[in-house]
Amino acid sequence: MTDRQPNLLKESAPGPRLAILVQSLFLANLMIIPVLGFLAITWLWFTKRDGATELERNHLDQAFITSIKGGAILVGMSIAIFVLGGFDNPWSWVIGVLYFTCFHATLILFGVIAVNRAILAQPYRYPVLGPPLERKP
Amino acid sequence: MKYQSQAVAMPYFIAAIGLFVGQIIFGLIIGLQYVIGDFLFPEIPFNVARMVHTNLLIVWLLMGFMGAAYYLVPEEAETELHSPKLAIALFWIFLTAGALTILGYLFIDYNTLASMTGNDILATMGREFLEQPLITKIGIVIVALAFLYNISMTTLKGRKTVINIVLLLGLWGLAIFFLFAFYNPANLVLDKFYWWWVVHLWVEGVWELIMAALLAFVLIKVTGVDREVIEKWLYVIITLALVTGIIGTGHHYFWIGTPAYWQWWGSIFSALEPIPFFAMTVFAFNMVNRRKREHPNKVAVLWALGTGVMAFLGAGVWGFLHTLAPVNYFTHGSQITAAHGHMAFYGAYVMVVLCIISYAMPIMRGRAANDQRAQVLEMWSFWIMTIAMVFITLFLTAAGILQVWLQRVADTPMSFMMAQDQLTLFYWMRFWAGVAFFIGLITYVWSFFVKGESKPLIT
Repeated sequence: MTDRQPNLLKESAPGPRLAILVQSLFLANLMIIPVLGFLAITWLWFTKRDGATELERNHLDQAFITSIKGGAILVGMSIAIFVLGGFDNPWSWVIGVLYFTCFHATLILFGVIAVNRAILAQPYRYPVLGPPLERKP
Repeated sequence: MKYQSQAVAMPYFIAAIGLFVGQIIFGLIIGLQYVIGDFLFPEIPFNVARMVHTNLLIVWLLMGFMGAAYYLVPEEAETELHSPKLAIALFWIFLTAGALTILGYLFIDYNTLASMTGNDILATMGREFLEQPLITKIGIVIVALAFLYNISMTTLKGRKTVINIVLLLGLWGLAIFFLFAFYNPANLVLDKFYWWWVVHLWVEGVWELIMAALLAFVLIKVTGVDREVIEKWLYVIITLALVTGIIGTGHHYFWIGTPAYWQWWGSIFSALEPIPFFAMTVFAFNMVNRRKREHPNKVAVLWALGTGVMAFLGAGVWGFLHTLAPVNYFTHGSQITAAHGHMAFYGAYVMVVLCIISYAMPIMRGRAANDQRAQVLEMWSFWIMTIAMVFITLFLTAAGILQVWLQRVADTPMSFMMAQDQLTLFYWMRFWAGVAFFIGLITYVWSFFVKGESKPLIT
């Protein structure tokens, strides 16, 4: 028997911890700790970005910017639907609930793909909302 | 195919697909009856067609689960099936009993059927999803026990893997909870209370174990990821499923006469119920992303990923949508429930059965994977059925929200039937989405008949 035991966590999740953490927070913000999750992402972005590796920076940028854009579109459009349509209008509820559910679920599914990429030490770009990937010269 | 006896799965899979076609035909009939009330009346009244639609779903999924178990258990246990002859005999008994029951629904008045089949001795009929005559229910128990004996003996004599144990746990749970179908107290609240022990503890309890085991098996095979990694995921998923799902039964106990504390228990635990489905989505993507081999059966991989995503959406997201007691106060028993039911059943159970069929059928036919053209056609069927189901769900959700408003929120609430009249547009759109689903299903069946070059089977 060797003295060194294999690091199972590292084997299963070779990606950088910071990248995994920030993408997990992206999902947590959508599902269990809205706003708090975003605040944590913001804190990480401001405090860890400068010293981060290229891959970590990719995930920090993607999670931070997509959270801002996605959150703005999700909440903004939902408010707009109810303000423009009126709370007493059943069609506001039909469109508002369907819109919120579908857009929210789509963000979660892309978040799942993103966290998987982070776990496997791969870069990721959220479709449409994520900033373009940095091109190597 | 590693073991000859795995071949007994094939008739189960073929029958499952045949019954699935029947289920969708009756789905289309009731979809049309929503908008043309006297369509096929009095030959096939709505209540009968709906009963056939839901009962066929249960029967074909059970066929699929049994076929999957007969294929999976010997391979995992690394031994031949205990008794292939018993498996074949049970297939014919189950198919005959199922067919006779459906014919009974269609050709005999339900009251007459009840008195003909012993309902006077022990009244178990007349409850949603458990409409089967007493003799059919007894038949199901006998078939289930013999089936469990067969696969349990196979497991006992061979290798005990986590997948086999989780699958067995799920299947034993399925059989045990079905026994509550025989308990039919006169008190309606008690009746409903225990009725959910069959319905809920099946689909949001033990069936999730079956689903997770089947998904894990296929993912091991198509990705080549180490069994230990997948087994750890499986432990996490089944723990989450049982911890959230068992007390989550409480979300069915709102407003039916049970104590008010169920509103808290039901809300809290069922709000957590999306977590195991979320874990399954992460699991499926993670395993496929870190795959160690490019399996020639691409379409089985697609079904595996689709199962994760659609189960999360249908069971998780659409379940959460109306599971909190203050929301459910308005939405209880509306078309929102139907929307959730359709996508959850499709995503969680239809897709996982089609996934294992997609993986196992080519192997049972002597090849690792089907010809490219057959796979492309099956992928088309995947996308047509899945997109159609998304639209069915969206239209039913829209109908449900409008229904809730008109019937329960508006200052001058409408009666049930008046509100239904206002939903006609959505019901038409749901019907046409159903037609698209049927086209996808026919495409799926057609893919089995496409001939061409196939990847050789390496054992």
